[in-house]
Amino acid sequence: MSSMPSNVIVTGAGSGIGRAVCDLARQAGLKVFGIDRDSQGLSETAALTGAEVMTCDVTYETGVISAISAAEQYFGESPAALVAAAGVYRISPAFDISAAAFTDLVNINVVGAFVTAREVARRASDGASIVLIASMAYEGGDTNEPAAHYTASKGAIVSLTRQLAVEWADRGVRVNAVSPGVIHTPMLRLVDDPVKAAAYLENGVPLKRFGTAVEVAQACMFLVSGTSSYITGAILPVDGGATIS
Amino acid sequence: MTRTAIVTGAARGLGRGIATRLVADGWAVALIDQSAEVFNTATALGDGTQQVSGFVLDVSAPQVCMDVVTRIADEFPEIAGLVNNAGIGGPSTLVHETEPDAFRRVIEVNLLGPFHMARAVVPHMQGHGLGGSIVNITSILGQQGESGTGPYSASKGGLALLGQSMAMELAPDGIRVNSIAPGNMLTVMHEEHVQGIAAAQQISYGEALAQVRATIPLGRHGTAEDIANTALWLLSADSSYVTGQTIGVNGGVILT
Repeated sequence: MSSMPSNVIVTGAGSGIGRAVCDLARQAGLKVFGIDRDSQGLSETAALTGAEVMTCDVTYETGVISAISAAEQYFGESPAALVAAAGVYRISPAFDISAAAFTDLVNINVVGAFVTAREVARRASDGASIVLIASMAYEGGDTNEPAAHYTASKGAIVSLTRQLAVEWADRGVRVNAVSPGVIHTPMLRLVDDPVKAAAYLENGVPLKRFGTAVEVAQACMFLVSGTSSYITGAILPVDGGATIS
Repeated sequence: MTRTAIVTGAARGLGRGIATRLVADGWAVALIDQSAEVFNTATALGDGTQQVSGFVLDVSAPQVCMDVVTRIADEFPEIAGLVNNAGIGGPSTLVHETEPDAFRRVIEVNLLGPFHMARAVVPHMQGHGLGGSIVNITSILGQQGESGTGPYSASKGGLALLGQSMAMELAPDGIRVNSIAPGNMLTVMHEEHVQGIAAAQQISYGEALAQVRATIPLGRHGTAEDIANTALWLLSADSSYVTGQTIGVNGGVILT
């Protein structure tokens, strides 16, 4: 694909979607700076993809600021793109979610993404692209794997995407979100029960298979690239049609 | 392996832009338009490395759609892509003052046209077993209604939902169906709309254009290239887990 930027910062780079983005971006010749709080996963990503990495917890604001600044030094220029894939998924009935547990999850999934996006946009070059990761969870409810705090956090990502897109458009910064469906990553719990998984795919996913981290990463790279230069504030579902079924 | 994409409304504007991008990416392209201008466009786009031809047809005529697609299937490599781009703007009258025939014509071209084309193309995609990708060009006006756009908005909103049903039905065949909803594009259709604004407010065309531009967060109109790039992505394997969706290519204007 043409019109790739020269560099990208990736959070949640230690596994799953974040690692797949690092891989595709390196293959496309970008300089990649990966961030994760999981230093072991991060080292593996570095070894597999050749990305520069730095251990950092996105809930630690000053840490994020230092990491983005380190990325800028590594690039030798302003950051041109961000894929904010850091996030956690915790299944729990709503009655069992404490305020502290809710806050903790929102801190990671929403505040972390916001602070990272803010720091990247502050330093970004004209034409920069920021991609946040929502989830098809934001569109509906789920009784099999209840996660009210997670669902709410992804709804917040959608609103955040739209607000930041409008607010930063005049700086030439685009903000979009990819909204994955059921993707085969370490985060996925559904595969723990193969019978349940097969039934879900049969009834809930028109394409009748799990998505792959690479497929989500491909959508991220489309939004990162200049080929999507007129797309901002968009939510791009990568879910095998799950949200229309 | 070269595959074929069919693009309707391809003589000019967005359709021509989409066809241009696909040819550059190595697709064999069958350009369809109701105007014979499509032959010139096909000649201009062809570079001799793959098949590029024009076909004249009105997409609101079901049997002609069948016949032309049969010819394309005979003469071209496997049909793996269909971009339903042909469309008309229709009347700008208020809905309750709109002539039924004028309304009907918009539905016939914008909604039934893609239906007729899909009916003709899908059996070929199922037949070769390689799957395929159908892209319907809808509109931001199919996502948000405006005064004076009733038939057009209804046709485009309907097309988006037709696409969702088809996405569900065709997923088992590996055929994906998605929509692109352009915002304010610098096309003849939009120029006419801007001329309408200028006339209504007694301002110049340039002033009216600037007025529209000021409402777009990214500060510019969209181009055929913007739509073409997204269409190419949706036709490619890079979007292999994306189906039943609408991608807004609108510079953020839907949010303001």
